Amino acid sequence: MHEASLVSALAENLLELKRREGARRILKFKVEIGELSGVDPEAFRLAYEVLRDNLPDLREAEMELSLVPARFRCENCGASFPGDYLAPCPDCGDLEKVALAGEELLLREVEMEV
Amino acid sequence: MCESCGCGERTLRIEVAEGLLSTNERLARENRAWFERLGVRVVNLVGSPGAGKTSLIEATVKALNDLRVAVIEGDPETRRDAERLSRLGIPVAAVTTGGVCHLDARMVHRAFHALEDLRPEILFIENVGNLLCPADFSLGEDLTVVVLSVTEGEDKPEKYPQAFRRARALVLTKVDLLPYVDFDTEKVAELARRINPALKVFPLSVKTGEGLSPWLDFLRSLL
Ligand SMILES: Nc1nc2c(ncn2[C@@H]2O[C@H](COP(=O)(O)OP(=O)(O)O)[C@@H](O)[C@H]2O)c(=O)[nH]1
Ligand SMILES: [Mg+2]
Ligand SMILES: [Zn+2]
Repeated sequence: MHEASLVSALAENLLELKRREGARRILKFKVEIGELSGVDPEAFRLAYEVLRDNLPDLREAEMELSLVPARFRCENCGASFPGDYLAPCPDCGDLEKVALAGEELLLREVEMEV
Repeated sequence: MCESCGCGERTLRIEVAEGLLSTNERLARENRAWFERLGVRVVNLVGSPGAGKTSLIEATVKALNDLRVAVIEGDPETRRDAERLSRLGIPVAAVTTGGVCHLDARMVHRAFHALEDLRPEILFIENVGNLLCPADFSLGEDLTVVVLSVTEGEDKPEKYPQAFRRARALVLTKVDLLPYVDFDTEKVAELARRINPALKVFPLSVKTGEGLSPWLDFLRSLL
């Protein structure tokens, strides 16, 4: 369900780029999903395949999906560390942290035939 | 050039680095500017179906009867929610999501047109009953509040950390039922604060009225 609305947003972006560049077709594109995003890459791929079957413009477009690992910076001591939202800083134990990576839902690159 | 036949076609590769939800984020920023211009505070309520979102809105609106309040009702479970609120004399705009699992900025924009002229001071948005999907979709709200009932179990923060991470406040509802369930409000509050240390937690019951005043004070402090 969730993944379905994300892939339709993705398709909108792709079709917009195709229009903008006046491309004949989209060959390939890269998507990055952060592991903190709550999006399941398998479900995302499946949702994409379902959508693609219904969109002639994407029928040949191959998706390269990569999962971006989480990385945080401690607000207290500045240490950088992996983990999840529940993880305290391994250096000072503080819980205030900002996510440096892992929250992305990104269309990174598109290859088109023009 | 097309490598196989030299027909003049070429392959274009472009770096995009654009968020999949960038359109929604742009619309959310537009909503935000609109809300700010009108001076309305917008509270986005997210939680599972049956958590007590509509009941919380009802109790809150009754208690804040000196303020102009409006509601956008996005929970498609029943149309009855919108009717329930209308009966209290609250202006309600119901959104039909067509089976979508969350509200998005465009739906909220359309719905707010019907409420704009009433110049509300607070707008509550009851999101679709779901703890996962609404977390990704900004609506232009001032703050998100997670509504979690004590009957739902203690594992929700761990299961849906995104919702708790993005929220400003957590309302733990139905505390009148605590004697009948295994739910330690302190433990859950602590778990939620590990995900989001700034999270404000309000345990309350709309049935008994217990814990309602700190929640109302919090809302008033936003104005
Ligand atoms: N005992 C008790 N029941 C509640 C409380 N708040 C809501 N409920 C009940 O929980 C059910 C679902 O509430 P509702 O507000 O419709 O949930 P929503 O789906 O999140 O909007 C209803 O039967 C309410 O009467 C509460 O504080 N205590
Ligand atoms: Mg409801
Ligand atoms: Zn630290």
